[in-house]
Amino acid sequence: MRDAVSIAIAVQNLGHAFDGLPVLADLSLQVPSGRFFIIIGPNGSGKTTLLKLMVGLLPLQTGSVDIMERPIGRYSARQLARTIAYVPQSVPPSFAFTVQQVVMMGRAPHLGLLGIEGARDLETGRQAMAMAGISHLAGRRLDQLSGGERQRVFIARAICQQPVIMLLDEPTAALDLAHQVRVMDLMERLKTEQNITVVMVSHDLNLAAMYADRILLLDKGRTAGLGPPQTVLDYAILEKVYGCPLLVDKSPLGDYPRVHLVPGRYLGDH
Amino acid sequence: MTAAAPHLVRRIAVTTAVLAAALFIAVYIGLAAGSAGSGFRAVFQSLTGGEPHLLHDIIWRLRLPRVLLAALLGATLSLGGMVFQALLRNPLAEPYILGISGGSAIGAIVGILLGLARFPGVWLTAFAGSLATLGVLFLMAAGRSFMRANILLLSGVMVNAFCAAVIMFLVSMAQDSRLHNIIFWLMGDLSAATTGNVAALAATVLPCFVLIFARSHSMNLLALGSDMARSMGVNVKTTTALLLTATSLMVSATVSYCGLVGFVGLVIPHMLRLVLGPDHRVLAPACILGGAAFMVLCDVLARTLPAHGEMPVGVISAMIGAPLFIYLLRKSNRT
Repeated sequence: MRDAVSIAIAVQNLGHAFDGLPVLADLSLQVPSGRFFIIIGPNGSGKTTLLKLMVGLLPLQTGSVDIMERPIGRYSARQLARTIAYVPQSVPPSFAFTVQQVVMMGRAPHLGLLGIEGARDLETGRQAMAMAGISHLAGRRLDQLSGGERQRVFIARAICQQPVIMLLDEPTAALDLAHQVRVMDLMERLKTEQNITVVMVSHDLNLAAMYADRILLLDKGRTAGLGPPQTVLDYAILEKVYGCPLLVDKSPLGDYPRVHLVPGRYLGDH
Repeated sequence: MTAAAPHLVRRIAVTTAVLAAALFIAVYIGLAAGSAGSGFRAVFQSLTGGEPHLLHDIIWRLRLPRVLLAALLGATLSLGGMVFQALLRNPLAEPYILGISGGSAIGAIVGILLGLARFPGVWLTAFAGSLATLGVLFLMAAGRSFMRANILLLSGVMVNAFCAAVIMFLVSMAQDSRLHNIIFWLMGDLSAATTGNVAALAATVLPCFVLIFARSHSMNLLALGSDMARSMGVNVKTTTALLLTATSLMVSATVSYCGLVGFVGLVIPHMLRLVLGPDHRVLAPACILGGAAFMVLCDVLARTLPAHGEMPVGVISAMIGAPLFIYLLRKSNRT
């Protein structure tokens, strides 16, 4: 069934405003099924708003969002949760649930009202924790973990949800280098091994360049670039959008663009 | 602890069995204790069908309805506290502290002054009062982060103070022989226990218990925030509205029978959460049974501590609960 649909998310003429202030304007894009799609852009360019519209956390104002070729409004909350998992930027501190309890919450859309999990659900949870590298934390309380550990717990919870599409809002922001690359590798694994469509908001242009199949560059709620990293991560476009001088060369690792910030002392005085 | 947590169903069953036993013991003490002479053997004898005497009638006609009323009151308030704590993601939230109980007390007094019957008249005015305060509370915190502990508690304290002023106003306007009754009732009074009252209260609150337990896993998911809950398939608005309405309904029902009893909804869920963890599927039945047992024992103290007569049970629960609230507030501010 997963292979039957070629477009996981289709966005048409999407617009959104908060209190009359436009955040997104006339946005159209398609996320192909089973691809790694990364959304980049400066602060306030509407990345998180776009993500929340894709997972039904904000009501549609103008335009349309189709999930697996079906309008998002025609999904019940449970159906949508079985299709899309969402990892927010931060989760508010909460009661002292254990890591395992939080991960198992991901089973909720597949279970009855009380969420009584069976042996197979527990096994799914164990696998999700192993993939996210948090098996050793299973019995620990969530409020005793570091920010990076918490982030990986919520990624494991999303994996445990067994979605077709995974949406993540800056999952690597709170992580050190080793965990950044581990989370990105994990998403790539989900993509290749389970054909999951991964949509991620990221601040890190170089991570985006190395992992994304397609990149959306947002600028003040509009599309400034959409396509493979090689075309979107062009220094002229990036300098215009980010408003600072940048140096883009080729990564020694492969055919990826590599983006450098340029310190002011190299620019000379004008 | 290893990853293999005890299976959920077994945990619920074991917790329920242990606390049901505690409730049974509390009820037994409640039946045995009283000013007309106490005796554990007397209860046992009248259970096993010994010869009927005066104590037999006292135990079954006077003490049993009262013990059951106390149990229903404690169960309702403690479960209500748990729901508010889950929805507001604040361990200090509770119907009494947030002024919800005060609002239903205003409604109840208006009902009493209008000469309505306890059921359903006074109960309906109490329910209207609790919904009104709930609405005011939400309006006060609207647009701001409702989850911020300070804003919420401060709003609640103000709502509560206002309700107390209105209550005093109503009481001072009532030049009535029932004045003493109203004041006594306000402090949390279980002397209105009759079989009929207990049955009517049970018919109101027991369906609410079932409904809240059915949503206990949704409360787990809501503890991670409404966005997370929604993304895991919870219909956030419907669930929240359902839980708040059920809680207001059952709390106002107890207020119209037993008056204002505070802090039970704070003490019991907090203690149980420390022991059992935050899973509401385990916590909800535990709060019902534990709250019931706690209130039955509070009532035993209220009946037996004074040399003559009795004191309102709300005095006992506040004496235990208020210091604990201060302790919890200090502890939560430190982290």
